[in-house]
Amino acid sequence: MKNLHKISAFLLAGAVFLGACKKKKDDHDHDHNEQELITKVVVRFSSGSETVTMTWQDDDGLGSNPPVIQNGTLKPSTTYDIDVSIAGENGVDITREIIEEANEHQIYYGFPSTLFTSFQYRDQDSNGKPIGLRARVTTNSNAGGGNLQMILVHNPIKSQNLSATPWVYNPNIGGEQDFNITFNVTLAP
Amino acid sequence: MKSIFLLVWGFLWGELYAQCTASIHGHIFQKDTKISLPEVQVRIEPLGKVLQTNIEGEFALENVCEGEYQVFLEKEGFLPLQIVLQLKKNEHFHKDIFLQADNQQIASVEVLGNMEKPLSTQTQSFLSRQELELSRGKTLGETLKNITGVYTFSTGAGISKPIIHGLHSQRIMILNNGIRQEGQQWGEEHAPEIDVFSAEQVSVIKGAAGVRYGSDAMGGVVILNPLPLPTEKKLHGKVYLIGHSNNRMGNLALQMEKAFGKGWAWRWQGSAKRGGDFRSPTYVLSNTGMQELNFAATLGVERKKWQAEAYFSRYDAEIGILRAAHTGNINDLTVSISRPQPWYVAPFTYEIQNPRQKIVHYLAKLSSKITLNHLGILSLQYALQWNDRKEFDIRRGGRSTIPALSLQLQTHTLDAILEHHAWKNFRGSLGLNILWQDNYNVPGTGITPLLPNFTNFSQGLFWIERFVKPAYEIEWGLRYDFRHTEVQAVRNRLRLTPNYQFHWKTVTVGYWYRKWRNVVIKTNLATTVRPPHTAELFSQGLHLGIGNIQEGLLFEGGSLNPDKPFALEKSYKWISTVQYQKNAWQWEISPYHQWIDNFIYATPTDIRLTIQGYFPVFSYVQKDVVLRGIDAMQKFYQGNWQWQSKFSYLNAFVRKNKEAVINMPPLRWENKIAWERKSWGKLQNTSFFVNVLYVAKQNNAPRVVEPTRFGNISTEEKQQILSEGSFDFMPAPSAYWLWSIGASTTYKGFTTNVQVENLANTIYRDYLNRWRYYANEIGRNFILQLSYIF
Repeated sequence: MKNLHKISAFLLAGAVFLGACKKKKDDHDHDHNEQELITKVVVRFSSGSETVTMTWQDDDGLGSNPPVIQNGTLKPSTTYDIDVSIAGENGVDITREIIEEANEHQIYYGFPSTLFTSFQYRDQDSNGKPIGLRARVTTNSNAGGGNLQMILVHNPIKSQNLSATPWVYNPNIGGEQDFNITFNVTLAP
Repeated sequence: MKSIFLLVWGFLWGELYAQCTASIHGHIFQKDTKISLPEVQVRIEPLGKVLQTNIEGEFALENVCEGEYQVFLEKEGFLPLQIVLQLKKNEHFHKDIFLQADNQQIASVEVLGNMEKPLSTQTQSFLSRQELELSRGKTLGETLKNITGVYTFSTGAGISKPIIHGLHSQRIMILNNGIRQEGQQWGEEHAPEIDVFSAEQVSVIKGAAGVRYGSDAMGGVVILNPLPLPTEKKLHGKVYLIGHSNNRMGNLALQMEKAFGKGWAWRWQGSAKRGGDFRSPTYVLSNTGMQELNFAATLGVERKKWQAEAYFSRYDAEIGILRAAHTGNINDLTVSISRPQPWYVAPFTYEIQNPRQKIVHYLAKLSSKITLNHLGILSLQYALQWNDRKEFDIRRGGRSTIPALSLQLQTHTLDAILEHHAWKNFRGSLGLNILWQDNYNVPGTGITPLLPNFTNFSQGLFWIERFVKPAYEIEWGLRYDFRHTEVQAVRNRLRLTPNYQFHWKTVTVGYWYRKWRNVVIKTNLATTVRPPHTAELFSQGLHLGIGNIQEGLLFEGGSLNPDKPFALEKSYKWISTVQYQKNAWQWEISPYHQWIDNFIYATPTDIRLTIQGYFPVFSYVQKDVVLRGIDAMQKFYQGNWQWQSKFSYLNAFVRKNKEAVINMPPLRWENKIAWERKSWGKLQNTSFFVNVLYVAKQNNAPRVVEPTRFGNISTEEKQQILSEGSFDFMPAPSAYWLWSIGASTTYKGFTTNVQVENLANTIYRDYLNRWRYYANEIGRNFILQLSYIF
């Protein structure tokens, strides 16, 4: 019976000792900031002194609030310079992160010929491959327009870009899509 | 019910009217290891009866007259034993008998029995020694697949978790060395944090064992046990050296044990594993490497009236996640499905890059067993588990070294069980289980946690009683549980601390019946109640690799409402088993039927436009489902030849509209032909085998909605997709056949095993692999296993 007491004392001591390992956690700090979430994409089309701004904004990430999309109207037969800026929660600038990791990012563009008749990238990474934050387009001569799709791909295999149309995304490029947005662009004189 | 009653009644009747009404019943164990011994020859004189113990080490002789008998026990490799007994009229003589091995080599016997027999009317299947040894070096899930009716739910070849009769994760329980495993088991890509080398006895309870083990045992229980500590004061042990060709994996394991002093003994066991990228027949599955470093130590003491044990183990693993299956947002999924091979394929490497998981799991346990003179045997155990899980993603802005998920789970369990001494024909136990756990998100990930912080405190009290006769047994059990859960959730940046109290009761009844020597019938009906896991209530986020947003039960229209009513999951499972054994034939059939009310299950409820494109939203809802099926196994021996066949089939659907439930196992049929010779010159246990596995296509799968349809979806199309219920993005993979061969032999304690898996290098995909959208299963794999017992 004496042994029994010893054993139970041992067990009890163990329980107390191990229980004491419990860490202090009076402040369960949550990560309120989504550091990587992209919440806003602003696309500026400029031709001379004229600037048209289109925005795609979704503050709650995967949440249920619908995005706010501001489409725009461009003039036919005009050459525009495109500048893209990307922001995260609380307006944090993400564009810079993309430029710093230019080799690992590219924005791909999808559009019908009723919208743009020519497209060219105006920026490139250290390997001479496009990034896509800056581009130049020429609009169609007819009024109308179409959908402009923009996909920011993280870790694309840029060598799989089609040589004639490097802005067109194809499955061989792979990677992960950080944003995939569509603007409804109108062409009107 | 009526027929069961008649059966019982008929049996009692038969017993009453027999001339000689006594019986002899024995359970034979190996002395040192206390493992049940099958195939012991039992000769009872002067009757001249010769019997053999069954696979559970038991024998029984009915309708014996009063008088004196001599029982002779013999088995190859053991010292023979003689027992004299005086039998009175109507006496049901029962004895546990221990045979001493005449050579002290461990693992020279087939481990079939289990010391713990908590519910004997339960259908429990054991992994044979040979099957366990052949699967050394594989994951726990893969090892358990040898048991009929057990599948794996996997995330590639490196991560797999067991499925019993269609249920997995938080619906099955893993009892590792007597302790309920508490890790992040809610996650589909979270494998059990257990080193399989530490287990020497592996079994699965297929019935619902909620009364004995609590709510997690709704689908069944996986039991992993080491052997009892040695009694011999000589150092013994074993070493394994294993190589797999497919992922160029090397695996080293060592175990040592020794008894010392007065009743003391220790054991140390460790294993190290390193594997590189797996390979499908035509390409490398990039970033699927893994490494593990585990150890466990035990110290025990045994005295006449009590025994005590301290156990400590550490599991440490790092597992790569297929690069091409990373974020799995729906656009990436579209891309993957349209491609013949993953978009990212690189040359073989051992290096593990992001995405990857890093897991450390500690278990410390103190246990003791005390024999109380007039009461019974009291078992007490306390355990602390510490689980640390970090998941690393491919991130922007140099954040890849910061984990995207960092969870620490601490669990304390205390169990007290009193197994009372047999009183008349009653045997039973009374028990108490207490659990306290704390889940903590380590701050600094820069990502909203998928699972909030929470604490759980639960207590359960159970009573199980058996009315035991040599040829039949009736069992019943009751349990009462209480759980308090406190969650620290965040809604619109505001902290909420909802509390939940759950109370529930569970019942089980069972019956076991032996007809002649060779038929055993078991039937069991059990209820289990399960409160939802915090993950099922609160999780919200992208379901990795599956291309959908998942939302917990407490979400309403996309936002969290902690007061939203929900129900407890209630299951009623009936399972019966008929075993037949005669001469060279042995077979077993287990049909089962499980009704689960308020089954928590994800179904599409919305198609949501986000900055990453359109996503289907799968919300957890509660529906009544039915899971029913049959497991069958048969063995046939002819000389040195053996044929074994295993079959299992499951049909699962939502009761109301007969809708299929996603990720349920398809039909599976496995056949193995083996040639075995116990002793061949100086070689022992030489065997050759051919195994063929057939897995059918899951025809009862949800309909297919191609992910391309979500591209630019109209409101009408959205409504139409949602109105038609559950869906999957790709048809269930086709049926496949897999061949494997192997050979094994032992020379002076030195065993060599050679196996070739997926012999034909078959290209296939499996419905229960979460990467079925991305890549093929692994190709041919040569396995070489060397082991030495000293």
